[in-house]
Amino acid sequence: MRKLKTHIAQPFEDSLERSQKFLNDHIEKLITFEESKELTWQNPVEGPLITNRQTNLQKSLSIFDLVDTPNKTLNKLISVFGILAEELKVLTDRVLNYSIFQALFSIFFCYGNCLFQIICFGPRNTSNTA
Amino acid sequence: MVPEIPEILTGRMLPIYQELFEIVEKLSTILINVVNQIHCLTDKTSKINSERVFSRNLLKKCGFIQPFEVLGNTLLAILTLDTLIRENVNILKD
Repeated sequence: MRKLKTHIAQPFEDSLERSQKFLNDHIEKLITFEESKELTWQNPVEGPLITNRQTNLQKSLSIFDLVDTPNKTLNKLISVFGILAEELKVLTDRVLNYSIFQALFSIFFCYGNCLFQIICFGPRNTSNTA
Repeated sequence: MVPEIPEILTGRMLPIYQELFEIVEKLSTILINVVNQIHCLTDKTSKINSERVFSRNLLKKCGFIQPFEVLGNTLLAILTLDTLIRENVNILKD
């Protein structure tokens, strides 16, 4: 019986020690991770984006006014992507998201049908063509 | 409503064709520009990454959600126009 007790007790103690070690290591890792994170946030290259708010709403804001970070190259990159995305959005809206009488896809969808004249020249002007 | 003669119809459609050509040309050039810029940012051999203007962690954190969303929308627009023109029998007849 003594042998059995020792046999059962040893793995329990071992597992307890392992779990304690694991917990201590994990706590140390968390502390080091938090410290490293603080350091990176202090770094100007990886710092958080500073939002720019303008009180004068009458003046129209450009993208260059809105993007203002300590990193100049990051400013350029954000503004370039913003301008390109805006340009693409305007063009895609002309193709897809305008009203039925103005979108390009509706014109090509109804080409050759009786609806084509209404879409291209409006419902009022169709009586003149007929 | 009287159906128009195909020659007159194509004549009326000429400004729309011109506008479509300009829009598709602009879309394709801006698309290529966006793809090139994303490639330059993510490529290890590019000048920005060799000079280490940005740290790698910053680029990993950037999701490029907006450019990819816009790329998808523009490709959708081009695809819809392409399918509409290809599958419309009346345009092919004229």
